[in-house]
Amino acid sequence: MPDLLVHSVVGYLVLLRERRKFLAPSIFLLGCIFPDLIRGPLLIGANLQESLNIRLMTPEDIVTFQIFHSPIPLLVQAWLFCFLFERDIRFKVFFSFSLGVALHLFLDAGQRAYHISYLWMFPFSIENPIPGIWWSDESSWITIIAGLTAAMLVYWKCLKTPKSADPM
Amino acid sequence: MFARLDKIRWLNILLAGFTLAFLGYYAHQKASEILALPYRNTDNYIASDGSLILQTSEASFTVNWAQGVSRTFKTTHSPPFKEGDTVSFKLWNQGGVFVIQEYHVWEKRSHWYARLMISVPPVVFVLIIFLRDFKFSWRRLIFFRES
Repeated sequence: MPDLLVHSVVGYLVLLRERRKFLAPSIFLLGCIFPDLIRGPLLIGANLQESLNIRLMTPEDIVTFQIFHSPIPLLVQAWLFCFLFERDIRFKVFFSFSLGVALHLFLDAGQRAYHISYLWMFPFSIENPIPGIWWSDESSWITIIAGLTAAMLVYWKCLKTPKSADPM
Repeated sequence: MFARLDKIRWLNILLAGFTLAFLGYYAHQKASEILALPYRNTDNYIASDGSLILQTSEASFTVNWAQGVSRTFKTTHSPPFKEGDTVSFKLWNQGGVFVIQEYHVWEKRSHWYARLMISVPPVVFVLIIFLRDFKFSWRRLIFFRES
């Protein structure tokens, strides 16, 4: 996965261009990082059990939780998430959150995998239709660009804040 | 009216929760099939998304393969990776001898943890701006816009 710095910076850049009328910015940004908030702890657990040579979960458990990073289960999660909000903003929440999730998945689709990847078609198929472009640990240059962009955005916001209202 | 709307909300929450639970259960049932994907018969090609190299020699390498059993691949050339590496590879079978068509040596686990640390500040940033815009009502279990 590209790290969450990349996902959130790209999301923020989209927000700079997108008309806020259709999007709830904070919900969109939450959607941009949401898939990894589930997958992240799972990967940490899987890595820890290999590093420490202990058994925290079976490979079947890992697969079970892994599907929550697949597009259709994520859409169901967006459906669940939007009903945690007031009725009059529910659709906007669903739209913003789903768009953020879609952007996250678009960036993740760049990663190479021969077999399992993100189970893109689950539950209809377990085949991997997206070969990807780079291996996930080769994307350090994207992280560096995202970090520099984040620094520039913070600097730009600091310059702009005294003159106008907070853009977020 | 208010109570009816809340019933619809809870019905949707329950339906979505049930659907997610069902998808998780279905994935658990399919897990053995999913985990076997890298080891199926793919005619002339064999690929791995990441296998620990147990041993290498001039014209072969041994990896952890299905169900923890090791497998040795005879290669046309000396493997360009070493024992202890975790490698993704794509091999082309030529009558029991394999041509390494593609390979990728994965970075060490410590690098992965470093990248994980980079992900913490954005999570904090996004959660702060989300909780600045919305407040949670514990009484009704709903997020309200901060006015």
